[in-house]
Amino acid sequence: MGSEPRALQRLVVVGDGLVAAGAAVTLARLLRPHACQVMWVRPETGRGSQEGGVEVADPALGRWLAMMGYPESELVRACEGLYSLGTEYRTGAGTFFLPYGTHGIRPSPAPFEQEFFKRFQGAEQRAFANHFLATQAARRGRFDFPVDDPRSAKSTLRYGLHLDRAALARCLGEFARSLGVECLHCKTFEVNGDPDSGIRHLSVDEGTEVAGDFFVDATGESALLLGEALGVPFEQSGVAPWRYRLTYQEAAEHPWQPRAQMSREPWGWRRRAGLQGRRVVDCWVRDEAALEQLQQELGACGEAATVEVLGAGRRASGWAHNCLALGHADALPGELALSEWFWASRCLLLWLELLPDATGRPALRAEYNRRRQGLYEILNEVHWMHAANVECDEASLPESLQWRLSVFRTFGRLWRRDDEVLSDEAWVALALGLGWHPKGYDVTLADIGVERLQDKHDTIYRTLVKVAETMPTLTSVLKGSDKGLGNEVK
Amino acid sequence: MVTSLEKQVVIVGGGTAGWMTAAAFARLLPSGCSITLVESEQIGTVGVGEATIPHIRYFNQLLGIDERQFIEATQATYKLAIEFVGWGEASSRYMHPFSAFGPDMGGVDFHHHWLSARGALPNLSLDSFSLAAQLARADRFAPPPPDSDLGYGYAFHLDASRYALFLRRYAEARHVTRREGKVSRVVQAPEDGRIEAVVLESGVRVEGDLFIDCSGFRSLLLGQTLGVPFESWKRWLPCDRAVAMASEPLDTPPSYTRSTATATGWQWRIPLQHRTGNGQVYASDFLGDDEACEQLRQSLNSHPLSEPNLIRFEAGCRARSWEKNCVAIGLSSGFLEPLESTSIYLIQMAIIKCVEFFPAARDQTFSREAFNRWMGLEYRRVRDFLILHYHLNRRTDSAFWNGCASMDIPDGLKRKIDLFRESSTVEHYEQGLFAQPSWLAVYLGQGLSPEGWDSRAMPAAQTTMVRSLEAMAARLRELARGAPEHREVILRGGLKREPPAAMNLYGERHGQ
Repeated sequence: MGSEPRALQRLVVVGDGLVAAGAAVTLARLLRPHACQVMWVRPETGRGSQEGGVEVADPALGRWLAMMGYPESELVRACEGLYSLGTEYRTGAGTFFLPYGTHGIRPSPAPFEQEFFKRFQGAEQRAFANHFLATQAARRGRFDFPVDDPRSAKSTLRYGLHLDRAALARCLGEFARSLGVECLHCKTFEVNGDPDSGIRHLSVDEGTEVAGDFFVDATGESALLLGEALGVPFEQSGVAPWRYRLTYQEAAEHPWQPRAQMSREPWGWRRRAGLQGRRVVDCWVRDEAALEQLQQELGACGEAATVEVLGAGRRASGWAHNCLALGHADALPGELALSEWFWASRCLLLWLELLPDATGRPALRAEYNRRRQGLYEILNEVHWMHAANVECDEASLPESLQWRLSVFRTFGRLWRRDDEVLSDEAWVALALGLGWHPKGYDVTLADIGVERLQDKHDTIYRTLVKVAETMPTLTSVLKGSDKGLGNEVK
Repeated sequence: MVTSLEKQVVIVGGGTAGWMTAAAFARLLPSGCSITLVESEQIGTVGVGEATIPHIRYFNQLLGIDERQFIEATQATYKLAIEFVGWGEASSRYMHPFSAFGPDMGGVDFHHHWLSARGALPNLSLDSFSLAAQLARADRFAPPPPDSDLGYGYAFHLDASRYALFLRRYAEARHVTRREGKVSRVVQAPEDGRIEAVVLESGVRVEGDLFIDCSGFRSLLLGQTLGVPFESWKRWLPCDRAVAMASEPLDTPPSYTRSTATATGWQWRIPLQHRTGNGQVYASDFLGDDEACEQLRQSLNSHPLSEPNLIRFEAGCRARSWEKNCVAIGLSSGFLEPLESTSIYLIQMAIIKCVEFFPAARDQTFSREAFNRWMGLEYRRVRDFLILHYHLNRRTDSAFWNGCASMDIPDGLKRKIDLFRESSTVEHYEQGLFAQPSWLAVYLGQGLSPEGWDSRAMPAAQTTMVRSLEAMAARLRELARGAPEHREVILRGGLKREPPAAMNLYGERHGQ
């Protein structure tokens, strides 16, 4: 018979960005009811306030906000937010839409996407993504909230958010304080700890000692706790498809559109994500020569841009002793499709699922690090999918991704992994859009005529268009009453 | 695009695996495929898998088989759980139900709360928080209620020979050709060794593009012809014999399978409508065949209906289940003892994956690779779960069990046990059969006491938590008492309306 666990009583979050703020909120909301105090040390030497950036969040953010009890509509107002139904891609081979949500069509007898593999060869299979209400609505600038009634096409909708990242971090910081998080701003701090015994305490501004029984390192790539103090090494990735991220601003799009845009450029990828008052453009740039060329082009247009050098890789472990690293302090799986906050929040929720007590729990830590490694690989795969056949050939992709793509291309089947970050439907739409086209299809469709499938798809398409056309525009949703804002079905 | 789906598929061997494959292929493969099954009435079948798990319902529904017809044809009874007797300490008894235990509370898995409060609940085992287990204990059966917190899956005890016959009729009605005769020779293509045809003793030559080896332990095509080696797992699963014997049906057939540990292995009891299936699984290093037969006879609950049938086996699987143009399904692919009723499940998964990765082109490289990866994972995950039962035994009555407790086990399993022992956490995985509820049933049922659990389950107000758990268990007991007797449901021919089936052990709650 075991003994009573010794619950963690005092958690210390260290860092000054969105990841730190989000971690403080999460821990306060989920652990304070269990008599756990959360202290947040915000060093000036930590990460900047991320002014000018945009958080392009998938529907997971909405679910997290609901879990935290933060009113989404307030956040949208405070962060110049726009609702998003997905991402519109422009590649050399054409355009496609990567929708959030589901198509809602039950297998009959084969999964819905298989019907498109039977009907079409090659790029025409992308028609699959047109059979989502999100796609049709986004193309028309329309937006509505999902409903709970499975008979309604709107039940298939899910939405993400575009939020001013600095404002988001501020809002979450204030929210954390309202939840009872003790916040300590400081100019400098030192970490008292070592690789053998973990972190003992922080010395803040050469005087105050901050002790805790667990520490969350959200200090960015410098990883002042896990990396510097505990000596967990950073394992650099041999290659990275894009070495720079260049960010600049554009005038807001009018009317507002419920989607982000990704476009293939000679130098890499360009993402445009709208906020209410402006658009933020992030460019993932292959190398220095490409960066110079892009800067010259932007300079000619009078655009001011910031440039960030991108790293790639991960710490040998994300949790060591009594310290958990989150976000860039832990790893850089690549953020072309999923942000640092997405990565950090998945890790934090995993840690909370396992939740150690104050006795250490080495097996639990090993389980966390095992699953976090898998999660890293999955995020990294999504990032690399965008590089295939341009920045690298397929043989240079991570081996696990090569296998998954082979299975997809041969059979049109998904090879799922534990803790997937994309839904099956999103993975299919993305793979099709980026140029992987299955040669085979579900054999149960072999005896079904193409005309029958076409009739079915035409009917679904017409229905979706009809529903989309009756939806309000995003502008009217945001400028209209507060009806429906917040507490939506996620 | 698909180059050709018009293939000649040849299934070698009838029995459960052969006819399940034939029936499923007849339903799922394109009409341009021809399906031929070769079997000989002179060759007996092992008749594996009299006890099943809920996935069989999905298989039957996929084929459009009416559940009541199936129950009548196979003389089936319902199954909600397996009871394990004497697997922890010699006097221990626990259920492994097709359900989770209790609801999540405050975002923390139920079992942490139970562990935290169990000192104050000496009479409430983990089983007390599973409606499926409660129904089974009371010899009752009812379809899962719509309340998802109480959901569960159900399966059947069935006569495997009758099931094979039932599926044979189904398949033959859908243009599957049956050829009677023993295979005398397998013809391979000289250029690449793939199988071109099997030749029967009558001289008839049956040609095919794809061969399904359902020849049982002989593994005629995959093992004998293509030489795919067998990987033995005897060092972890030491039993290598079984003796089976039918006896008269029980007056009150339970809605669960019973597995009772003996000094050198274990015994099964599977209640059917027309008879009771009994068997003893043992390690021949520790028990002679005659003694095993005698032990089995002594343990019967009803009069014997047959002589003992001895089966020799070795736990393990072929290094690859798909080699060249040959797919092994069932015992020809591997064998794991029926401790968790997984034989038919493994057949079913092989069929489904064979259809999913059905080779459209002549080149079957990816089909083979995908199938072999998948089935390899399935076999190893089931294997580890079976080893767990042996390794966690707490018996002190024989060298056999002492050896099982002290043996080296696969690294992945050791890691799982260490994790649970330390933190009451079940290692997470999504691909593979047994998920958290199953691991909990065995860990806790066999007396593995974790050193700690989730600190959020430390009850600030322990009295409230204890009362809440008592009320929960009482409610489940009450629901179970109000359900129809299993015997009555069977006498009525089964449920009037069968609920939708899922490829899931626990109903809709876990392991999707």
